[in-house]
Amino acid sequence: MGKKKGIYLLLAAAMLLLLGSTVGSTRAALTYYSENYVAEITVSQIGVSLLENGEVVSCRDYQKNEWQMTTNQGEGSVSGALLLDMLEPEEKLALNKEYEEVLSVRNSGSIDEYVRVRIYRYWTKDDRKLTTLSPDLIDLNLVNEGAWVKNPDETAECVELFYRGILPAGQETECFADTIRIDGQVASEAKVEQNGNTITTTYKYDGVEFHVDVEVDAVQTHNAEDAIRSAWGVEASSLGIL
Amino acid sequence: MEMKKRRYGSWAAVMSAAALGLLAVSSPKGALAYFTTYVSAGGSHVVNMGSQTEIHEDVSSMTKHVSVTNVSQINDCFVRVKVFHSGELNVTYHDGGGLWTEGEGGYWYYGPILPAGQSTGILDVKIGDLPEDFDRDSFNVVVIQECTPVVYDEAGNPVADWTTVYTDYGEEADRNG
Repeated sequence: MGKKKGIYLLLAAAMLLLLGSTVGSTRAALTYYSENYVAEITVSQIGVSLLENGEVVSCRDYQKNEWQMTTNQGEGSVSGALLLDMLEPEEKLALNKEYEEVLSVRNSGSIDEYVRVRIYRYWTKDDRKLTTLSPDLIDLNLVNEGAWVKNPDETAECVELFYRGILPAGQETECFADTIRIDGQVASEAKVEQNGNTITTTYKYDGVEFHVDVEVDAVQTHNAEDAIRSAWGVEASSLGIL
Repeated sequence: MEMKKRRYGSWAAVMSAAALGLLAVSSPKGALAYFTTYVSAGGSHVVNMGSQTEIHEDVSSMTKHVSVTNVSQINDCFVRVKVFHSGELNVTYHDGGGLWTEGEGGYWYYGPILPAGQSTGILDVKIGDLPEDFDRDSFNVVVIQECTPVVYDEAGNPVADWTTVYTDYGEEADRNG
């Protein structure tokens, strides 16, 4: 008899809890429909933009309940283009020359956020990745190391930077790079051939193409530690970016 | 009767467990929802290297008129020349344009960048103080030329790096196969 009573109590408790868990949402629904007025509501809108030499090259903001994507590549493009103005018209790329490449991030949303940047450097030839040539020969000069924390677990191809602290809505970070230079070491291997009065120097890496790709991620500041761990897989406090 | 009681008890226990399970599922894990966004951009440029230079030597009045042409269609370069001759000959140099300079290693360096498709000014190499019995139709003065790509120093000035040692390179297997 006592056992049976216990089971009834357990059942009653479970039913009450289950009922209680649905009451809140029912009340909210009733409250929502009982109001009758029009109001402007500002909702949390996250957004981020990548800037090259002061110009936005890629931007993705949440506005009016949908994502707004704009790039310097025109409509329909999901990725911006870098290095378009690196060379003047008719200018030839020179080795060891420093070209302006100022890269920064702007919070183009309406809520504060944390920002991460990933920079990929690599070489290709004939549309195939070239792994015998070091990415370090693509010298993107990283600056403002106090504001940008480098992930110590970087690889040769990928550098990961975290902006230290919160980037307030509408604000721009200090730049994380200011110049780009192709190291002259890329021309260190060559064959010299003479044929009559003509000398031909053929370089091993003639015609290679260098690439710089940049990804920018932003995450909300609410529950930042958990959000950053979940989104980026790093401990924000141990990296010192909170 | 005892059997019926037992069945009823089992049914109530199952229902209780189901109700508790449903309650557990109905609790949302709100902490995993967060706002994020991202953008990306990329760019590239081709690194054109390689050069092809051609030396021109016209001879008149015991003088070699030397010039070098950059026959590359793409790449600019720096050039230099060096003259080899026997010790009995006295060789003097004359540069009307003032663009050739005698420098390290006995070379004559052409100062400006030699753009693709263009030629240097003329460097005259005059052979003088010849012995009376010297055969003016057959003398041995050899001019060699070298070129090097345009690189930039730390101050951002275009320079020629003549210290580069060029070696034949072998084909290296790419890790991509």
